Amino acid sequence: MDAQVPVERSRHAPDRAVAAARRRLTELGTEIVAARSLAPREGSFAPLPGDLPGPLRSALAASGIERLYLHQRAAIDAVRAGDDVLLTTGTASGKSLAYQLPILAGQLADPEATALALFPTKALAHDQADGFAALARGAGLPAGIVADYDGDTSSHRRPGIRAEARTLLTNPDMLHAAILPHHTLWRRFLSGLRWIVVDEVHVYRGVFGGHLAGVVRRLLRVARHYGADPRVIATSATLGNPVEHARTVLGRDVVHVDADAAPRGPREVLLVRPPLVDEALGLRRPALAEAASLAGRLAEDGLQVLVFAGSRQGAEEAVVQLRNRTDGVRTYRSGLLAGERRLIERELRDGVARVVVATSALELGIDVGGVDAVVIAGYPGSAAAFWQQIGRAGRRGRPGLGVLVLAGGPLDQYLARHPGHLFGAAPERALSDPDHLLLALDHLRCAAFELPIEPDERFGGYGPEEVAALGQQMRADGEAHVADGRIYWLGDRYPAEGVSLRSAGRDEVALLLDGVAIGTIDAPSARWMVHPGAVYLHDGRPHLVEELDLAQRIARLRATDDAVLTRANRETRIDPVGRPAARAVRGATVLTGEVTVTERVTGYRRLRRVTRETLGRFPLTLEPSHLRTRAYAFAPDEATVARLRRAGAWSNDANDYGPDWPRARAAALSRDGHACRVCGTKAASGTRLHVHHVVPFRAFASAREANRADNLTTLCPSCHRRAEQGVRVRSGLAAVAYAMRSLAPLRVLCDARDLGVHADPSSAVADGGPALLIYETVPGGVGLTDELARRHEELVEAALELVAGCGCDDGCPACVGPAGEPGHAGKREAIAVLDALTGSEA
Amino acid sequence: MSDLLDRLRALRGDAAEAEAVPEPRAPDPAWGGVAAQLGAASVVAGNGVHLVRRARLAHGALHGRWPVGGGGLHPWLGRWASRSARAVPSRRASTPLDDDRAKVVYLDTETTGLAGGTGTYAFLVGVGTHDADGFTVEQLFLPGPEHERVYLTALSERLVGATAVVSYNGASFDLPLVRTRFAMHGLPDPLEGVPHLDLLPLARRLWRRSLPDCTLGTVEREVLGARRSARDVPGAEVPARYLAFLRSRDARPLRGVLEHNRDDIVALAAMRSRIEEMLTPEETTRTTARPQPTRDALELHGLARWLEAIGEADAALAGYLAAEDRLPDAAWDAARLLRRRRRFGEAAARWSRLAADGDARAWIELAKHREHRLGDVSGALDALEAARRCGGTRHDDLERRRARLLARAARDGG
Repeated sequence: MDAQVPVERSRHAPDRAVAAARRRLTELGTEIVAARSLAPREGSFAPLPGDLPGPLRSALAASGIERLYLHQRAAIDAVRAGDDVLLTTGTASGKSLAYQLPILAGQLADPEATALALFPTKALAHDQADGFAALARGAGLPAGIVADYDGDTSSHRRPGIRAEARTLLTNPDMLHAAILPHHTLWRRFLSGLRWIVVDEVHVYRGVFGGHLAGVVRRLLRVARHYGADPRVIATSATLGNPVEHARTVLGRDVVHVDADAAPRGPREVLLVRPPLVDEALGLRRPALAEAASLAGRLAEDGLQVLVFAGSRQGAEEAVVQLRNRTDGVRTYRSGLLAGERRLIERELRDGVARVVVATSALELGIDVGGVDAVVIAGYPGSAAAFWQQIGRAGRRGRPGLGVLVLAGGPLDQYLARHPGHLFGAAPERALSDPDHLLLALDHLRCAAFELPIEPDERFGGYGPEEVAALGQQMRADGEAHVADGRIYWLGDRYPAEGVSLRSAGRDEVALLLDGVAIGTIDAPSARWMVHPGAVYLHDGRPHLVEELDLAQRIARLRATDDAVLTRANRETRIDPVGRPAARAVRGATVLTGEVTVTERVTGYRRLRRVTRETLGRFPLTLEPSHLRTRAYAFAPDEATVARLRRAGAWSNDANDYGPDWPRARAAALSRDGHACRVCGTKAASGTRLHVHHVVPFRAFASAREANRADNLTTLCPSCHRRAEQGVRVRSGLAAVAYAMRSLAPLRVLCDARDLGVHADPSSAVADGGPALLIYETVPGGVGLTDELARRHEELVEAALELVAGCGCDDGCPACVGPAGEPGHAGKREAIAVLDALTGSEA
Repeated sequence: MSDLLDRLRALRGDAAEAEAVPEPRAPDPAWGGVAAQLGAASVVAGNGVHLVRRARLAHGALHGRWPVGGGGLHPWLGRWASRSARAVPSRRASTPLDDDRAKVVYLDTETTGLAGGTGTYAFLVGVGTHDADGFTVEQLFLPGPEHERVYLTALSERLVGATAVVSYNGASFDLPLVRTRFAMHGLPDPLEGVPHLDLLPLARRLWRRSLPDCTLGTVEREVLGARRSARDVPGAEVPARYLAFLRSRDARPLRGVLEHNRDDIVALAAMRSRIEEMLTPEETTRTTARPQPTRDALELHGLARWLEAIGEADAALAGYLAAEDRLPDAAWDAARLLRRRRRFGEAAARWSRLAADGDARAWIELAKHREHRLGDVSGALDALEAARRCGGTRHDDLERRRARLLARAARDGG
């Protein structure tokens, strides 16, 4: 490695950056599909409010703040005038001050005024608490009036916080499950509640948004009980419908402040697409590797780069690649301990960190600041997230470069063809339905636990009569007692316990290296990321997992230097609960109902890192994870299945199975007693037995692996034919599943994370027949799948359009995906199914 | 509204429409029927009803082998209880805790769930008090959450003026729950600033090593020698029975719950007198059968540790000395206190005995004793060597000491 090129801070960095980027992209063979120059902006300023208390003014001056941006002043004025406010200015526009200032000013005048601030993650709350506390101290307020309070807060600190804190920084989960059910312990705090801050409110959409709305309703209700009537201050990334969204999840009509007056240097944004590696297969170089290559080269050119890798594993793999090229590479993600985060932020400021790899914008603390170039691997799922990430490009108003490396998936390829969607069109609308009946009922139950429900109470969009009816249902469920029209909770446990605001399983598994905690992973992911034998990348370095103890919630790791990766095999099984509701549609039956989704990690493969060839397969016994939720399935009828079976001629005679095939074949026949493993038919004159590869030959990189005895099975001709058709059915369904799941979020008001997909050639939900299932990842489900089922016809039309219109031969990640049997993408089968479902001619 | 509920059922995937839960039979306004079922009296206030059941035990009545006692708390128990009251001067007891006129109140609740929080009700509160002639248990029963305000007012009357409250695991459950109920109605908290004697931590210190667990039932059976009737209701069923009562207004399934609660209060009083016997010098005079020596020693040791924790070092030392022959840990603690009082020779005697049994730490103490008290450096080195041979101590720790001693020997001896 050459001597380090110092990170330059010259004003000309950006043009250099753009020139460097273009040069490097050409070097890599990466196509620029769109380029936009965003003009610089001068800052517009306003003085501090004249009536700000002296101590606060001095504290601000001590932090170097003598004036405000126009938008900060506008927001602060509105809050102090008693309005509810929404601030949607960009990244690094000083939004925190917009709420810190009025709160501190108010608290200096009134020692009983309190504020509650909600953040989507604990890490964000902790970061904000430090800054807020420092400002409070500087203004002469007593220590301990600003406190973060969440699952990490030690129990011996909690009583003191309850007794003294005036500003509490926490998250919706803590409010929901710990604070509200014990509100009598918080009477002092709640009776003085003047402000509720909701940060990053755009994050609360779909199911999460519905839950936040429920929690906010309950909070306001309890506050009212103690005589408080707080105002709401919300911040958000750019949305297409900010005011509507605030009304939906916060229940308030806000004053909207959005003219961003912070100075900004010029910004260049490039959309790039990695080159095709196989035209027929439609495969491109992976976006992540491409992004890492580009970032590494830009770092060599002396730029500081921030890479958004989209996933934890992606971030780890990017770091490995980057470390081969340059020094000063760091990962920055939420599983890091607070001390490590501070260290990386310092290293960024000092220039020691040259490339920082993060997963998403939300995980960045406030002190990360800006960099010269931002490289995003794969479209982050929404324009709001995209602009939030690009917003980090450019330091302190100096120019910056943003590069989006498009991935191979359907949404990314759509953007490659329609870049205007990102630049010109209105940003997406955040949508959620807090009055969805199941969500509302969950929160009504929690509300009843908190305070008996009065006869004239309404809850969100439900009037008193409807609330009373739901109360009767709670009574019938054995959870409530109704007397004089009042609903009293009488269940024997917290209703809040059974309600998860986010996805299932918030438990964290600690990763231990030589007994020292180096990070955490959520329990469900732990099963397939740190199973025993897994090679797990932490901070870019490979570690071998020696032990996973789910009961104790720890995984023990050991550093290793294998040039090996592991990939776990996950098996999913979906069983119905009760009888699903059925509706006949063209070519299939649509089923909806409650299901149990069991996920089991059965084994894993070791792969050589560079070539990805399979080195070996190993079994695993881990307890499965269970999810009870709602699902939408469609079960193709016999005619459709027959079309599936006929589609895609499968010829297996022409394959060359390698030099040791005759021996392997003979061994399999001998092992199976020269009889079909399925029906027992023996070889006889006229009947020749076949030896079938369970996992198709094409999936393997070496003939030797493909021909292992445990992958071979003896079959008679008709069983062989049936097995091959089974493969086809499986691939066809899986292919359709991929396409539909990619498109579902465009139709249904949710996040892609809210849905899981599973294709099963013999599904218990469809009485043993083939079925494609889409299930909700939130426990209990919320009705998204019922909505999808209602729009079944639209969905299959759109899926057919996507798959039939794709330019690849047999299927690719942009249409039917890598799902299905390895080695067989199933595009033809998918089209056959979709034709049958839409009634198009084959 | 049936549309709404139909939609709800469909979304939840409920089976066919469940049977409607019938409205409960309206009770007579004074709840006389329910009161009779429970052997209680009903008290009607302006806007609600509560039920009261009374039981009375004569002075000296036994629960198992122990009397329910009486009078003020032993001063040491009082000191332990006062720690919990925090420095809130508002409700200092006007009567010292050990005065016979002090009002010691025993408290135990039955609730609609174990979750605590604002949605859990204490539908039954048992309150036990002493007077000159005996012991009274009053049980307040809540006929329904809509009556809670008058119920709490009645409870407040029983608790006001209490100089101490005694419970079992009340610190983490019963008391916070009761105080939450008062807070929910905006009523003043009668327990604010009242010293709380939670017997569970004490019981653990005394009997954890001798018993399979320290639940009230186990302690009652094994230590107090009391047996309950077979009709005891398992704790897990209690909330469901109350809910069923609210629907049916048939209180008979709750009778067992009331008896259980009353027995708990009596057991608390008996446990207190059992513990107080240990604190009085005449503890040797007992009417019980011959105690097993090992259990006694463990109990003595636990008690001594507790006495040390509340600052009664003399009594603690006596306890350690009484148990040391049977329990090495007690010998160790005795040595520790003796050394603190500069009775080094006596401390060394204990260490010698422990060292002879192969305790490496005791050898190290002897090494320190020989070096600092006797000036015997070579003796100290011998002791370190013996410690090393016993094993189980940190090698680097021993090495450091040895090196220091050798350096000193070199300096002294030349």
